[in-house]
Amino acid sequence: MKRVLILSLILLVASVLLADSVAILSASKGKVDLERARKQVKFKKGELLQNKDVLRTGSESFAAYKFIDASSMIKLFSNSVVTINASKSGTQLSKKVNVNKGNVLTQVKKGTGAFTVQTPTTVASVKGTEFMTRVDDDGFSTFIVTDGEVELRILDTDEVKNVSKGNTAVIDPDGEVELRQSSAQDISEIEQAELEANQSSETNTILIRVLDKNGNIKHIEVTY
Amino acid sequence: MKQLILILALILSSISLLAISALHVSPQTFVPGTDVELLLEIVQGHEEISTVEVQYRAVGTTKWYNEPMRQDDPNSLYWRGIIPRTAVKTDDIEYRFEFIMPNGSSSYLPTDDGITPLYTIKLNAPKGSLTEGFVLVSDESSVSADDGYVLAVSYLALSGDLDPKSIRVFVGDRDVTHDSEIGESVLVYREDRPQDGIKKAMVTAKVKGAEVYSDTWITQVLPGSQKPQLPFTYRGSVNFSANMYSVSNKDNAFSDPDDDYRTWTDLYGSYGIADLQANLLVSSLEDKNKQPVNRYTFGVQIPMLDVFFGDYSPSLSQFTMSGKNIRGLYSRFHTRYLELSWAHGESIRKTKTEADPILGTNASGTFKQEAIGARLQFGNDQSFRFGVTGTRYRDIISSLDKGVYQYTDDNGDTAYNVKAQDNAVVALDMQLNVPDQNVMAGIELAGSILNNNTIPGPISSEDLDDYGIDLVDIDPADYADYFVINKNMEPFLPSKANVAWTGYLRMYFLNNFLNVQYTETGSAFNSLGTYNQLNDTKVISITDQYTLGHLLTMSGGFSTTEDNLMKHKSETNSYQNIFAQAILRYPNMPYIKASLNSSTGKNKNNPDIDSEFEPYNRKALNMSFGIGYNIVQIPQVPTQVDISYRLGSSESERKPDENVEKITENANNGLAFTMNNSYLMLPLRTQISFATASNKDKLGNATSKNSSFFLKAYYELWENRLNPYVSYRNTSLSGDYDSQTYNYFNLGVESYPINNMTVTADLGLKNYKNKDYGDADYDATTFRLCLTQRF
Repeated sequence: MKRVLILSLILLVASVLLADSVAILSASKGKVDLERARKQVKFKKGELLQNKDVLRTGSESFAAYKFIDASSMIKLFSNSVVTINASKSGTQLSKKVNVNKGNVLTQVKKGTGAFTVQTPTTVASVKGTEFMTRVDDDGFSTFIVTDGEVELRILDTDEVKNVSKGNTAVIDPDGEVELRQSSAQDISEIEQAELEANQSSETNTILIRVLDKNGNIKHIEVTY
Repeated sequence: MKQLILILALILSSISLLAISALHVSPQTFVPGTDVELLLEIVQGHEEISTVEVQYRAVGTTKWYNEPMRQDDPNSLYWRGIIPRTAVKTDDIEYRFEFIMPNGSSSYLPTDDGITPLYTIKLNAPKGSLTEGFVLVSDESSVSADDGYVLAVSYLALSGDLDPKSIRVFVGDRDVTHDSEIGESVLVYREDRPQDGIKKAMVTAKVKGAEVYSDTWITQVLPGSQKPQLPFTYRGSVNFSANMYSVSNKDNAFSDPDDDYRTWTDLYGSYGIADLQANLLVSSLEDKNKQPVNRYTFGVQIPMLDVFFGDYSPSLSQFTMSGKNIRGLYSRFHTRYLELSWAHGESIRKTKTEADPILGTNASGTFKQEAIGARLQFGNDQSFRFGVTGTRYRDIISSLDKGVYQYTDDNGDTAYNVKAQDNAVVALDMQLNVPDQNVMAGIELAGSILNNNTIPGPISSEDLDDYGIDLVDIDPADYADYFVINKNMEPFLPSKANVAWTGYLRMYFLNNFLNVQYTETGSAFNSLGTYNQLNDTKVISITDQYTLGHLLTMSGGFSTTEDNLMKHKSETNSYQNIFAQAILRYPNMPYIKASLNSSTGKNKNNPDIDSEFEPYNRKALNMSFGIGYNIVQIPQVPTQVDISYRLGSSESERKPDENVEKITENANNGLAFTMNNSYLMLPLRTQISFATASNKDKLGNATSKNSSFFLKAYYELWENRLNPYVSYRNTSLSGDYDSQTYNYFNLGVESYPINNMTVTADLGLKNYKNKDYGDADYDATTFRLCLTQRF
């Protein structure tokens, strides 16, 4: 028994030490929490994210991360929870985004390996596309595809559906799928979320220094 | 006659100080992470050079960094140096050479005239091969400084092959590896509050033992609302060296130096807007009774203010304070339209000779000298400037014991071994620069007064009356703190003789950099803050440099110097010099270089003064031709070759009567060859140099010859961390000389035990043999150890 405990301890320590980074936090705004091994950890922009890390955003908050193969950008809008999953196989990275809650926009480059997005009811396989995943409090999963195509597999039924650009799929908690053309409101919601994510509560002014032909320093002032 | 020769020698030596001519073929590109090797050939004035340094900086910056050059051997015309691999990583480099003379003065190649361009080398691809395995994950092209700068690079595609420990991260020209988070497949470097501007980043590493490098990624950091964090960046080196000597036949050896040790550090840092500098040198050769060897300088530069403490060589203007070292304070407040400079310190000169009762000599010494200089300038170098400069140099009488500088002669009169001087110079200067037209013109006018002996103190009013001078209620004693006025003044009353002026025109047109300058220096003009004052002379010099891209560089010039400006001497000496040189370099073809230097000197009688006149003529002509090539076509052994052939003649004659009498007539020629080999199959580099020169005295029908042969092999072990080398040099003198041979054998090792540390140990054996005088033979052993830690 003692040996098993020691071995388990060694394996645990080794797994922590060998934990390798799979993604990088490229942006965060507002209240964003990073949970690693069930503990909150402090982070900065550019933080390296590890497998099984959980990202949470609060209200009026935003976070974005990229997998290290530079294949994709995942944006978390307000009140979202995502678990990062990735496994290396040689020089390939198999990526998975577990969306537990909220609105998550996924932008994936073509030809960059396996990429899936999983909600409580559905697994979406992606090969070069852009789509929004929404998981609401009632257990509904919504996929709004704005570019490319997404293959959905319903976990309960193993049913497979393809959702192409301009279409939206809604899966209820029982695994029922509704396919429809994306409405103007669907698209608007994505645009609105992106706009809010990029907005800052303060007005900023930047001064850009330029040299005129006489070598004098001039400034261009930009307020945004 | 003696006077004539002295005057001529003075002119010739002074001119030659200013007449260093060198040929340098600049490498057009450099590979970041490798040393940039530079070869400089001195074609004129090499005997006047004490040391040569290369000064380099990243294009667009102002701070110079120095690196010493090494002469192949003491007689060689070739100097070699490097711009170290740690210097610049992501920007182009510009550089120049600084020639330092034994008296401390210096000159530059290219000329520091504000218009001739510096040597520039472009950033090339780094060593190794470009890989796409480094992927920039943080791919924003611009970020706000408020958001911070993040460099995130993935090398997942190189997993398994890449050694993460070999990764080096460069941002700007800084190696930020130690500040980066480096994982198995990704690295991150971040600055939370970066300064705005362009950031260039690059990564190098080893993949399966081969060096690879990434693209150079550019990110623009836009100004943010927060104050930028002021990063402290620093670079420099800490050094220690020891030289130990042993000589077998000390009585006859040419020299038997004492062992010496020195340590020095050069630190250059920047903290936000402030640039900091500290240079310290401590040597065991420091002797209170000799010229100081130890040096220290601390400097701070912020946008409108430069302050330097310690040893510094301020340059206020050509005629007042120009490049002479003082130990004290130098400060310069400068805005766009106003500049104020202040320098105050001591000229470092400590030499004392004890009395020798056997030789019957008195004690003697050199006074310490206080230097004060101030300059007020309106305008700037980019448009128009007007400046007023004043300096005063004063020998400090209290710095020597009275018994050292003063004694009573046999007649009971006070006499002086050494006299204390006061010197004041005031100068006005103007410069107009029209960058759009590439024209610059300027003028400087200076007047000086010199008191040749201030020890007797100021003259009394009564004595002034005796000289017929009425200063009306002014007593010179009241002004003695500022300047001592007495009968030792030179001139006693201001006149044209104590004035010097110069005017110059510099312009760039049709690929020509033209510089025309005229200088007149009065016979009584004295400025102790400058070098090489040619009193009582006028000098006209015209130089031009023509460049045709990287293909052709030609430069040439003419100067004429004539003394006896005030017509007080019985004869006038004139001296003309013409030089020309060219380098032709076609890409991937051998470069060709040539130079010519011709000088003539003669005198003419001054009919206003009745004295015996003996005309003379003196001529010298030297030419050199060379060819060099980087022979990459040789399989496995890329080879750099440089060959120079030089020939020349000189003669002097006088006309004591109607007949011409030759005094000297010489002809000389020489060949120099140097070859560097880098072997691709072996980590081996070799250098072979050969030089021979002969001088024939046609009148004495004697020929003196010397030749030298140099061979060096340099082996790189353990990925260039341990580099043993061996070298052999043979120098032979024959012909009119005693037949002599010098043999030098050196065995050493350069090692890089840890990052940026260099340890060099060198054991040198020297053997001297004189076939005509065997007792003079000796052996000498030298051991040198040098540790350098760059950071």
